[in-house]
Amino acid sequence: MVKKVIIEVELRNRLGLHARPSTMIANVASNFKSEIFIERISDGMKANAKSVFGVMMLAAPKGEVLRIEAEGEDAEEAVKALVDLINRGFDED
Amino acid sequence: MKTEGRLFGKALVGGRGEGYVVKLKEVKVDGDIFSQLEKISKELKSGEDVISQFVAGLLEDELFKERLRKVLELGFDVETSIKLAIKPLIDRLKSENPQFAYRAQEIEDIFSQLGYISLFNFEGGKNYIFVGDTLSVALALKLKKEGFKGCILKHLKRDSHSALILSNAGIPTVVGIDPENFKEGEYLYLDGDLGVVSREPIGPEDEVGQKKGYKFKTKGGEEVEILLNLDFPDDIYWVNRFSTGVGLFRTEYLFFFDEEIEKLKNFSGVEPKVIIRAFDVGGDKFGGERDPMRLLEDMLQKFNKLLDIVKSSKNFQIMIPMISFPEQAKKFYDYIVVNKGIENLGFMVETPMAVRYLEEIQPYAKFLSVGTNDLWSLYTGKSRGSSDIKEQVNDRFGEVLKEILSKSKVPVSVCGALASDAEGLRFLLKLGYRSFSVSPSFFVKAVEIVEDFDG
Repeated sequence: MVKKVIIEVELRNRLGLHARPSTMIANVASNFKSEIFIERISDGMKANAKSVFGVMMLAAPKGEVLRIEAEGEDAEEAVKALVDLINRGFDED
Repeated sequence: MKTEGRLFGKALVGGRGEGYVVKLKEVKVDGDIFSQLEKISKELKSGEDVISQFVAGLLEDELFKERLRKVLELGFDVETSIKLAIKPLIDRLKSENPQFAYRAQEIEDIFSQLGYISLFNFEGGKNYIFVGDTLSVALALKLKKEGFKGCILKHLKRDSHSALILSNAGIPTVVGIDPENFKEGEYLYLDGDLGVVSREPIGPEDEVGQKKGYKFKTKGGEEVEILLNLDFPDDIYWVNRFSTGVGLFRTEYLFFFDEEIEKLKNFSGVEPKVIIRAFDVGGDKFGGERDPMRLLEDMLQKFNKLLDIVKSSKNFQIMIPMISFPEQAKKFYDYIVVNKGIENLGFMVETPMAVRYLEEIQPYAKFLSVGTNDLWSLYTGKSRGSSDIKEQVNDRFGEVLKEILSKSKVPVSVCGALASDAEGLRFLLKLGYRSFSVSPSFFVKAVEIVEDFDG
């Protein structure tokens, strides 16, 4: 069954969405079949979460609120995995 | 020690090497660029650093490949196409905060050399020395793989991953020398411990008598002070190598990364002094900060942090750039000396107004330092970097510089690029200047010129 899940989460790690987090997001998102998008709330810029190019283009700093939108059979699991990754601060501390 | 025919840089990886110069060059691509990029991506993935992993991911990214495909179809060569494909990302990062801008530069460095990784063309069976502006991780791996005997770069951070690769591979490396000094195919010798590059063998006469210290005498017996212009915490290397102090420590870069400013404390014992120049107040230093009030708060917070560090050591002195009027000097004096209790306050003399009002400005200063770069630029209207340093050696500019010297009742030195040029330094000595802050790669030559000066 196709689901759509939307959730907002704040970036907590010090350097924001720099190279490593962008790569991690793209790697995690690519494990799921759903279409996944990440939007930077402050300016509305949106990226395909599976594209490291797109995610890095968001250039989201610490404190930015991101909207994660996933649509597909594993949307819930995808969103959970990404939110978990972001809330862990990308294991940077 | 021998200085003739030598170029002096920063020793990054020790040991001696010699070989034929190899530089990056444009090469025509035969075959499918995408399969080549796939190979490059695999090579990059073997690197452990974040940026290599990121770039490897970028090369496999469908969005990037689609952009590259479109640009190639327009008929651009491979190198240009890759640059254009990555450009939106670089521009976006550079317009954001300085930390992203710094990351953009790292990515640009890798991409600027990416097209050459698989296309690096040279004859085998000889000794080679790579000469370039900088070195990406991917290219460092290539040099290691191909058994290069040496590396000469314009810049490379000591703690970068590329530097680590060179060090692990035992490739002697000297940094801080412009690759324009060398031609493809010429034979060079380098010593990665002394930081010396030469067209003739490096021998015992290079090792003996490298001058150290900060006071030197002219032929006429006059004492001249020579300090260093530095930018980064790991430049402590130069202070230790030459046993001298710092006449200008630029702090702009340090403020991009808060944790870096703390490393200034590593210089607290350096004699005779470390003059820390506060950063220029300007929006360009804070990336894409759109809220001016936040910008001002951020700048003040960072400025106060800098003052705390200056206060932590008796060897530290603070220097304020771009002062033009006595009222400005007084404001800084009231804040720094009266309010914060920091006595060693100096100003840079780098604007025409500062020269005009110098007598009223200097009562608020313990020392002055002439910033010839901006001073020349503001007097002539020529932008920094657009004119040759040697243009500054003329009677008219000399009159301005003499005026500063005659008006100064506190110690005055020169920290601009003019002092790091052989002709410029001789010119300044003739004008009567006796204190200089020079680039590290010029220190040895500066000492030679001073000791040879008979004026």
